[in-house]
Amino acid sequence: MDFRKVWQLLCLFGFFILGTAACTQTEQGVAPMIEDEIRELSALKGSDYTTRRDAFLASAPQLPEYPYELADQDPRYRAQYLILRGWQQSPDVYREVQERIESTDAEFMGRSAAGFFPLWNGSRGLSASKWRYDGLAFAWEDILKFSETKPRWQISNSLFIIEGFPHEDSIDPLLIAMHLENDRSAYARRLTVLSKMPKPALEDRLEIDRNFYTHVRPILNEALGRN
Amino acid sequence: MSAADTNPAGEALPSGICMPCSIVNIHVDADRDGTVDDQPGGAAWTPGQTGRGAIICVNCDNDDGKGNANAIDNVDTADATINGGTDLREIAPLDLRKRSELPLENARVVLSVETAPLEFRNFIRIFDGRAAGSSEIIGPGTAAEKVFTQADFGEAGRIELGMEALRFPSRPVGGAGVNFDGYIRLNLRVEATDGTAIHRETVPVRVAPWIVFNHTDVTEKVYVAEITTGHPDYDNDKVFIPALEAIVGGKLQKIPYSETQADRWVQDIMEPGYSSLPGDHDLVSVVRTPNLRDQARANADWDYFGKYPGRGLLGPDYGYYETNVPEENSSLDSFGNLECSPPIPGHPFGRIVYGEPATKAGLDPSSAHQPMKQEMRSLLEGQNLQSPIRLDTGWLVVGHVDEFMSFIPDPSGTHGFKVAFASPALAEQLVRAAHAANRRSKLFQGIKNNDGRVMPVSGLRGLYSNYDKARKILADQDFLDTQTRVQQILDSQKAILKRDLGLADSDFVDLPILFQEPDPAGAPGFHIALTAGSVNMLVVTNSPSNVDLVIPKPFGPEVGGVCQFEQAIRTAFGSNSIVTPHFVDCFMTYHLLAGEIHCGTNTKRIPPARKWWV
Repeated sequence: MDFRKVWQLLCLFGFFILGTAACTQTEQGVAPMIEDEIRELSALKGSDYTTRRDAFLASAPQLPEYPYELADQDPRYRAQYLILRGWQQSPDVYREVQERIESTDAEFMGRSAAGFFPLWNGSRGLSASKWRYDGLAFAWEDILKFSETKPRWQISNSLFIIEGFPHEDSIDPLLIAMHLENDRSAYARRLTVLSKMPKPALEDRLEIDRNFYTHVRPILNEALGRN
Repeated sequence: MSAADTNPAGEALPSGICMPCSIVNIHVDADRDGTVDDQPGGAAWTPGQTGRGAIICVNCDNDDGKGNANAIDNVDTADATINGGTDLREIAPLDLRKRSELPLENARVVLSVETAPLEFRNFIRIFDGRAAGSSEIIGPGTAAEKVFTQADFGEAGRIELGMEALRFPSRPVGGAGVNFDGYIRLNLRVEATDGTAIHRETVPVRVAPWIVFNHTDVTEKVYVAEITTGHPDYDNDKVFIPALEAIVGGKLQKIPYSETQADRWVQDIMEPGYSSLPGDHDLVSVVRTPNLRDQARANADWDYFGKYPGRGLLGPDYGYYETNVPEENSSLDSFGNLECSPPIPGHPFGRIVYGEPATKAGLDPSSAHQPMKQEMRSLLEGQNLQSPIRLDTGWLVVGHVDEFMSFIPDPSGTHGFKVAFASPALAEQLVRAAHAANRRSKLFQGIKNNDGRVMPVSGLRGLYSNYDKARKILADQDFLDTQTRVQQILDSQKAILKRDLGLADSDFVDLPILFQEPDPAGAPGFHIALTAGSVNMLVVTNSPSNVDLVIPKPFGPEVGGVCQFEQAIRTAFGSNSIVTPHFVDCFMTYHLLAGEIHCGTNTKRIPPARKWWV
């Protein structure tokens, strides 16, 4: 028996029930069952993640704006929430970014003296001038969910997207991606991008006395140029 | 009170202190002959023939075969001991010598480096001896000072120590970076056990700068990356490399495919340079690109060739240096974007030239090239020797200075060299002349792939079919406008070189190159050579009077079977008595991939006899 398929079917059924139940919003914004699902999604990566994300998006109601008073509660949950909301809000941007990736002749570009910089610089420019906030969720999803499965040039491309439109909501995805990163170059690149995020928002996180933020304080200090 | 009872400041000394017995001096190699001096070091560091002051070396080679995964962990500065082999050549001598044979009683000697404005112990390491196995006593792993007593001086009344530098000088760029001018002050304090100062002295030492080679330095090795993927068009082992080998002979070092992983841009991964030291020792070292090489697509192979200098070159007397943890920053981090002029008055080691992205009308700043990594620019700016000149390369797809200029040794030049410079205006003029001579004049004829097969223009990736005849070029006003626009940019860059290198118009050798703007809709404002960028050549200096120029065969318009660009280039170099131009087809293996011969090669050169401190 293919337990994976059975599990996927059960998930789909679950999402149908969830979708129905979620019509009632809680005080915090979403129904507890949806909240649980987002929490579970936040722990998944790669194809496992993609399958459940797609099922969620197929059935879940529109997620309301994230309640900012809870912003510091659970960065991983919030990042996942914003990614899913991004999918719901701006699917066209997702598709455009994805099409740009798919139309890249990576083999040729990889051989070229310019490398992937024409793509990356272009993505940074589009992020700054066209996609703006709507392109960020795609990039957060890339660095959090697919850094081990997608080619590295695609993950780099997403970092250029984040760099192109500095926003405080990018700080947590970067911190999450960095705090377990062992590759010194991957860490360095994320740190460079993190250092370009709004300084007051970086400073704010230094003040948060919660487990995750105390753990990543050295990263925040590095990003602020305080070694 | 006698003089023996006071310290140099006139302060009374505690009882039991013998002033003459308590004088200890710092002795270094201040006269720069390779050995420690009998005369104390002196309080000033001065350059020149009669100048004085010790020099310390960034000991960035690997004399004991360390084999960690990250090359930067294998350089000799990464460990806190003097290694075996030839490591002693990179260790500068430092003695503490008592002036009196009488014992140092009730006093101690404190040797230190300053902790402000920088923690200088992170810039120098002082060892407890000058033999293999000697250990750090001052440095990043220990402290900023070390205390000695009479027992340490032994019967000879001296303590022999060794020094190495840990970092090259650097200068802040764009408001960031470390301001380290290369000078470190060694402070010595003799103090009574109650802390009263008995004697003080300070001796400055200077870190030997990292010097970029220039084309008048004699070529020792030519590096080329072997590409043997089996691809008939892009591989280089059957046509290009044999042609190169026929010219440079035994100087050629082929880097095997197993080391390159299809990244052929050996110019871009590293910049060889050197540090000259007293005792006639030059430590050649490469600085690796600050950039993470992205040419290998598999995640596991990412940056594989970028790590080659650390993996394949680092060893005894071949150093390796990183300015930063490599990361994806900018195409301008590649060292095709870093050249150095031959010597000019006031700059006996020439001036560095590198590109930066100046913002131009029509270029979206947010999608423009990023500047070269700040740490790398800090290194180039910080050596205080080859004062960099910055040119605008932001208008180029790749963004490297070697796309439009190259320094050519030439005794008839104002300073003994000329600058080969890209000229789309000359190229257009030659296209017009070719068209006038033959209405069917064609370009891109006879290009061969790695199997030696002549490629039809229709088989070339890119816009070549649009411009394969002189008449097509002359009929395309947008294309001609592009040539005019690029020429204007180039003229402005030529003016900078003229001003900063003290050159005359006659010091420039214009080479015909047509440029294109490959994606005017998607990436407006970015240009690249359409015909082979002949200026992007390999300069092999066999001796001061014998130079081979390995020039990308331009495949320009032909008249009577003769490439008019090639003929013009031969004519341009005809008056240069010391160069031999060789035209090599690199069209398929390099040009179509946005580079040329200079991009695909690199050189190790022999440091000149002249010393930087003289």
